[in-house]
Parts: sequence; structure tokens; C-alpha cells
Amino acid sequence: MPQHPHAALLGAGAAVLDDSALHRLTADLSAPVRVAVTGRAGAGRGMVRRALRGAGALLADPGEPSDVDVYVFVETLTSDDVALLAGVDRPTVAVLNKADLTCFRGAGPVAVAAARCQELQRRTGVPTRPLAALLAVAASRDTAGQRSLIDALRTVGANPARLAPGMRHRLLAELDLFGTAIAAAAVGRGADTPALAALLHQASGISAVLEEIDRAAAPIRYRRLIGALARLADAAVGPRGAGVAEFLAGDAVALARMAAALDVVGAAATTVDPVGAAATTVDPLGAAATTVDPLGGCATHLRRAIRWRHYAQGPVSALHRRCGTDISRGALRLWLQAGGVAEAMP
Amino acid sequence: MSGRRDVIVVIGPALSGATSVADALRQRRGGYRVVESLGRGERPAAVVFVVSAAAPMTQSQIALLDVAAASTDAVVAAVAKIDVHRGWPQVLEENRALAASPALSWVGVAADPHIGPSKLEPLLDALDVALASAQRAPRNQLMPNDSHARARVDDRNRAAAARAQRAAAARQLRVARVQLTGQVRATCASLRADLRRDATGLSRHGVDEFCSGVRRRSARAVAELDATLSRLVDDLDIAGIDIPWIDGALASCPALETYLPEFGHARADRVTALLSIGFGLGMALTLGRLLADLAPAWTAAITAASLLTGIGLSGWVIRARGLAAERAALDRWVTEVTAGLRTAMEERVVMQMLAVETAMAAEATASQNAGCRIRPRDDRP
Repeated sequence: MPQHPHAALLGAGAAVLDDSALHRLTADLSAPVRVAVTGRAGAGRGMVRRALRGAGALLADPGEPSDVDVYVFVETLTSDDVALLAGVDRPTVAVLNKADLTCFRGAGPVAVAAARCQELQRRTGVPTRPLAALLAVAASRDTAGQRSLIDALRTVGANPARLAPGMRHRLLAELDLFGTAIAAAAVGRGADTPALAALLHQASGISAVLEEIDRAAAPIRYRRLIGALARLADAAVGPRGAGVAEFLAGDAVALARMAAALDVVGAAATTVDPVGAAATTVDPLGAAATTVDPLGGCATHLRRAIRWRHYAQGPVSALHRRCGTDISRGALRLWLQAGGVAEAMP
Repeated sequence: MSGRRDVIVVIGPALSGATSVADALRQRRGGYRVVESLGRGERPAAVVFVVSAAAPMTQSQIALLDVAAASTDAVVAAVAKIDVHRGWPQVLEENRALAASPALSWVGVAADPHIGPSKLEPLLDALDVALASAQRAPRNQLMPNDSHARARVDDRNRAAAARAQRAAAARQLRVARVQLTGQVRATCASLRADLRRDATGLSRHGVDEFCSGVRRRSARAVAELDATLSRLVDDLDIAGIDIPWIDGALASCPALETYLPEFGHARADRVTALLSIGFGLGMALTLGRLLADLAPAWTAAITAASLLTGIGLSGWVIRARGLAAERAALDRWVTEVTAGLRTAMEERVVMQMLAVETAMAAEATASQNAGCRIRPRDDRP
């Protein structure tokens, strides 16, 4: 599991301090979010689960609480789906499954599904992405499975009539029509196993779904960071606590909190209606720069700090208030690093 | 034959393929008018209900099918887009199990196929069978019309009665508001007059009792108001509305205690004490000198007696001044208490009226929504 940027920032501190609590904290923050798959019956929830697991997501066991929900539907949101999505209390990503069967005309199924998702997202406010779970599962298959598929696909390209009925069924079951078509074309052009897997992975849209899950999990990660730092504060007292206390007050922690907070407000900015008034309350400067950028002018940092301070004082939720404060604090640290001089109030 | 013979209506949820099926039917069944939504008063000869083969029906789609099946006997349910969704036979079977009527005939169609030839024949056959059986059965002509008309009249009568009842209740409520506000004002005014009269003739020992009496009488006034309010709510003739009772202890309506100011005992201040002592000593001095001049032999006894008289006088003046100050403070406090009481009672009246009005408005909205029948195309999210 790759380290998350926030965890990496703290990890540097952990390496310096060599404190076991800090190492644990870094590990906690790198832990993936647990995803639960719900949705419409018959929409392919099982296949979406397999696709997500194959792509490296951690799925919540049945009965286990999840961090992010994935709501699977097909074709379009029915009124039942809309009612369910309106009542969710966890970060949720809606997934239009069977996107590879949306439409075989015009721009192709995935493009049509993506446009439809955009429209649905605009209407519901829930991030919505197309997914061909079947193709994603096929892409995550092992090499031996891929190789036998490639043989069958070569036959499809060369002489479809010679394809054994068993193989035909297998192709349809594992790739379906659209998958078979693009895979056969790619194999005809000479694609090998990794290239085929990459093509299927790209066509399935799974990476966009994972990105969206990651974005939806930003508040979870922010809360984890805040909670972990609060626990770490306990270790800051006592004989060996001086180093930890210094670390907690240092720039690394302030910047890690700022980065996590920027993720939260950035995620919120993408889910609000772009023409809505809510988007204008989010600092375009800060929301665009979702990573902590140590470069940039002294005045820019100060301006950003002031703007986020105003944001935190505005009519926003408690989470966003904390985020605004953290971003403001981080920006002030960056401002000091960039040469800003704090003056006493006259 | 009437106009209703001509119409076949094709309905289905959004993106289910209903439009393609309607287009295909228009080409293949030229003898009928194929529409996707019915005009006012139109009766379909047959209904074709289309759902996509992508997944089994959802609850809203099942409800739509029920609405469609209620208007006529000739209903054919079709699973569309079977050219791309290979699992359509399972979806069809699941839909058949989900649908309420087991007699409904289900077919798979590919009206506007993206892959392969179109498959419309099963639908056409099922439609012909349904139309033929519906033509033979008299129920289709009479029963739906009759039941529809009856249901419409019933609905209209019920709605009119409910409207009239609501209007009467609203009128009653307005009158009650005026009456109650007047009652609150009169109660508070008489209470204030009573209490001020009591306060002027108060002895020092009666202050504590008077204070608790004020609280008791305030609480009794509020209890009386509550009783009147609950009687009013009971009397309001609104059937089927659950009116919430706003309790005085609720946060939205502050309790009586928050309105009544505390009465602190007025302390005789030092200036009063000083003046009283000066007065007493002056009296003692004057009395002592007068009596000593009259009877010089008794000087010592006279001095002691006049000193005692002076001390007694000082004490009496201090007490009298204290009582007067306390009575003035009580008078002011009584005015404040009755003003606070009036605010509390008025707020209670307003809150209860508001609750009743809210309940009535909610009921009106709910009955309006219930009055709107689900129309076939309304399913689109």
C-alpha cells in the first residue's frame, strides 16, 4: 500500500524522532478507506465488488462499518435510487455499472455513459462515474488467463466462425460485446498481455471511480489525522515528550493538516453545482492547489491565509470551519517560511 | 366503435426503450394510434409496459406497472434492449416474479437494436392476443370507466369537504387568537391591581409569603390559560389532524421561571440608619434637657430614660423606613412580574396557535399530494 501524502509528511518526522507512537500514526494514516458496495438489485454489485478489490480497494466485510459507500445502478437513476441517495449519511459515490452496454452508436458506450453520469451528478449532487465492472475484473486477471483470452481474441479477429462455442461463451461472459470488440481490435494490432490489461483497465473507467472514492474519503482522512494527532498529544507529556511536543507544534504537522483540509474543501468544491453560489465561497486559489505548494509568493500565502480565515468564520459546517482554520494556519507557516515577518499590532 | 379502440399506449421509465418500442409499433401496427402519453379522457385499448433488460424492476417501476395495469385488461410487459443485455431471460423471469399479476404476459424485445436484427414478433403476438381477449370481455369497457368516474367523484367530494373543514377551522382559530390575547391582557391587569393593593398594606413578616403568593398566582394564571388552550384545541373540529401540544417546559416556549424576576429584599441603607440614629439622639437630647430643667434632682434617671427612648425611636424609624422601601420595591417587582407573565402567556398562545396552524397546513399539503394521481410518465426522476 503506497503511503498517502499526509502520512509521508508525518513519516519524515517519525524517522527523525524515531518514536513508536509516530510510526503507528503514520501507519494509521496510510490505511486505506473501507468501501461498501450497495445499490440496485441486478445492477452488478458483486461484479463491482470484485472490480474494486481487483483494483486494490479495501472492501468492508458485511456487517462491518464502511468509510465510503459505492452505490451501483444501471442506465439511469430511478426515483428509488434518487430517494436513497438523498438520504445517505456517509460519503457516497454513485457508479453507473454496465457502462460498456450503454450505447453502440455515436461516441461509443463509455463516452455516452460519462455524459449521462455528468448530468445525473448535476441533478443529485452525488459524484457519479461510469464503470464497466466486467472489463475491470478482466483487466485484473492473472497472466495465464489473459494469454488464453488473447488466443481466443486472435481467432475472433481472423476467423470468427472457427471459434469454439465454449470459447465464445467465455469471451461473452468475461468481456461481453464491447470488451470483445475493443480487445479483438487491440490484439489484431498486436497488443500483448500487459497492453491488453492496460486497455481493459482504461476502458473500464475503474481508475476514475477509485479517484472519486479517494476524493470522497478526504473528510475521513482529515478526521483520522485530527484524531491521531489528538492521541499523539498524550505522548507529548512525560520525560520523553519534549520531542513529540516540538514535532506537534512544528511545520510538518501544520502543513499535513493543511493538505488534508485542502483535500476536504477541494472535494466539496467538486460536488457542489459549478453554477451554484456555494462554489464561490470556496477559495479558487486554495481549491485549485490541492497540494501544499511551498513555492509561491509571500503575499500569496498571506492572502490565502486571510481568505481561509474569513471562510472559517463564514456560515460553514463545523468540519469546514476546522478545515478553514487549518488551511489558514498552514498558509501562515508557509508565509513565515517564505520570509513573511509577523508584526505586532499597533 | 369509440375512439378508445384506436389507442395503444406505450409506457416505461426513463431510458427503458419505450420510445423505440412505440416507434416500431407505429410502423408495424398502422391500424392503431400508438402514443406514449394519453390525452385527457382517453382510454387505451392496450398498454405496453416497457422496462430495460439491464436490471430487474425497482419498486417505482413496479408501481408504474400497477398503474398501467389498472386502466385496462390488455397489458403486455416487454423487456427491451435484449440485443445488448445477454442476461435478459433471467431479468424477464425476475420481473415476472416481481409483478403483482401472474397472468401478465412478458416478452423480450429489441425494437431499435444496436446489434443484430430487431426482435418485435413476440411483442406483436402477445399484443394481438391481449387485444383479442380484451375485445371479447365486456369488463374492459364498463368497469374501468365506472370505477374511474366513481373514484373521481369520491375524490372530489372528499377534497371539497376537507377544504371546507379546514376553512372553518382556520376561522375558528383566528377568533380564538383574538379572544385569548384579550383574556391574557385582562388576567394580567387584574392580577397586577390585586397584587399592588396587597403590597401597600404589607407587614414586614408577610414579604416572603407575599413573594411565594405572587408565584403561586402566576402559575395558576398560566395553568388556567393552558386549560383554555387545550379546550380550544379539543374543540377545533379538524378530523384526522394530530395537533402537537406545546408544553410550557419546551425550549421553544420558555418556562414561567425565566420570565419572573427575582425579588431581592431591600436593605435599609446606611444613610437611612445614620439619619434615624441622629433623629433618635436629637430627641433624647431635647427630651433629657427639657426634663432635667423641670426636675434637676432626677438628672441621672432622666438621662438614662431619654437615652433609652432615643434608641427606641431610632430603631422604630429604621424599621419604618425599611418597610416603606420594601413596599416600594415590591410594587415595582409586581409590575415587572405581571409584565413578564403577560409576555410568557402571550408567547404560549402564539406558539400553540402556530403549532395548530402548522399541523393544519401539513395536513392540507399531504391531502393535496394524495389527491394527485400518479400518471404514467411521472416516474422519470
